[in-house]
Amino acid sequence: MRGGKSARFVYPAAAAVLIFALAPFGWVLLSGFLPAVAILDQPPQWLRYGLIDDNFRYIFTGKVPQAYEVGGQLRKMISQEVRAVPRAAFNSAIIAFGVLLLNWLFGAPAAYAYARLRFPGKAATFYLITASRLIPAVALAVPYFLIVQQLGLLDNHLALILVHTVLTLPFSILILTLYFRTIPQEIEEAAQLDGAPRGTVLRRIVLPLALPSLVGTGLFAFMMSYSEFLFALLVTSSAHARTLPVTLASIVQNPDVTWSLLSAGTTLAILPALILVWPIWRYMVRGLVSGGVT
Amino acid sequence: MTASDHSYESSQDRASLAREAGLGRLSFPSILAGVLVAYGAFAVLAALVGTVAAAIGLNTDLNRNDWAALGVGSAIAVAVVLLLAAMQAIPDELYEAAALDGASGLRQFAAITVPFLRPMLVIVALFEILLALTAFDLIFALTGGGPGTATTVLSYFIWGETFRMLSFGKGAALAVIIAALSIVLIVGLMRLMPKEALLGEEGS
Repeated sequence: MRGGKSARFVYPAAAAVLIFALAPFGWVLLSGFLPAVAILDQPPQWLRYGLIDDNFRYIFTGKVPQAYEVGGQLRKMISQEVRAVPRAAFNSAIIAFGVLLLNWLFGAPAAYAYARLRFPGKAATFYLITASRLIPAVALAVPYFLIVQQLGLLDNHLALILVHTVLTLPFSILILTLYFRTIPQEIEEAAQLDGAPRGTVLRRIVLPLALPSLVGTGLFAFMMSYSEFLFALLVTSSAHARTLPVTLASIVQNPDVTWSLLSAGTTLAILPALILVWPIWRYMVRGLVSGGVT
Repeated sequence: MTASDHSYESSQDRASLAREAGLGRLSFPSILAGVLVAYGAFAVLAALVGTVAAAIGLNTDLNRNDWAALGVGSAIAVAVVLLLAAMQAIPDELYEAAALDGASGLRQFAAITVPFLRPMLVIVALFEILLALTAFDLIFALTGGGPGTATTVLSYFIWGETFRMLSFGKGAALAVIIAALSIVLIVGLMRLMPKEALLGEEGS
């Protein structure tokens, strides 16, 4: 920023943070392409056996990697649960997209009301909504589990969509409210003078202007849902609705886990989210923070 | 025979097995999804870190510090982004004026940056505390609350009591405790927040 001598401190510090943040991704990516034996070598000799795509092939086709075929009865065990990863990715995607849509559907009108309308109990309900998310999720686990059970929605995509929406909506409303407030009111007033009702003003004027914030909050909700673990663990019980974090957890729970397969599965799990978020990350951060809590 | 034929219920078993496999003292972050990355990273870091740690004579048991480090790792990215955005919103003129008056860099930081950052610092602090209070997925995946009970934090304990021991009443009572605890922390922190920052007609 100020250049010169501060750069000497800034760059090493930035490099340290970067390595701290990115090294695990690199490791996961690399080890997905290695045979399990290369990872467990002491000392590690990762590239000794070269790079292979057997791990990914096993996940999609069930063809056991060559390294396992030798040894007959004594061969190492293989984490066959990893084959559930594609199905879990599908579940996760459906649920996360559902959460994103519900966040837009309910978040935008609610935020608009808090940004523009006056009504009794406005401050109290706003604080209640935003503070509700500050209660630790595990404190809500029992009641939510019982509610989902009563509704007969256990092991159902809809249950997770609803629960994740409840968890993400307060944050979406908060961010959208702050952003809506930064939109000049004169634009809306002009439309209202021309006789447009509130709903039309919101749809035709406010929402297009708030697009960065909508994208930001929507993707944030998507990512929260995509990586949420506790409730996904509680309300799903079979591969039918199980999401990625739960599936990967079921693999790693086993002490005999095949690390290279796990890494390959993890890579597959991260990629969709990364591909979706990476191009619009800038946009998203701007949308999230430009509401300006300063 | 497949890996799924085996399942070691006790975390003690898992911890000792992990030790045998050379898995050691680890810390790694995640930007995207705590669990997703953690599993993979655990896998591959283990060999290297275990070797290095053993070589320089470190104790290679998993302990409390490890999940604390994990929490820091996953939260630091969000904190950086939020704080950076807040810093960029501070007008440059303030720094120029301060520099003209002969204020040093440290003084500028204390008198301009920190006060302007206060609302965002509160938000980041809230975020981090909640993350720490609700730390569950990493513990579930990596340590299973062990070795012994060294990494059994409140949220993991509640989950175990409720859904492993199936004593829902006890779990609900514990949930009330953790909720009360976090409300106290939240209210305390919110007091540091300027009143008009969240609601109020002069929003920003």
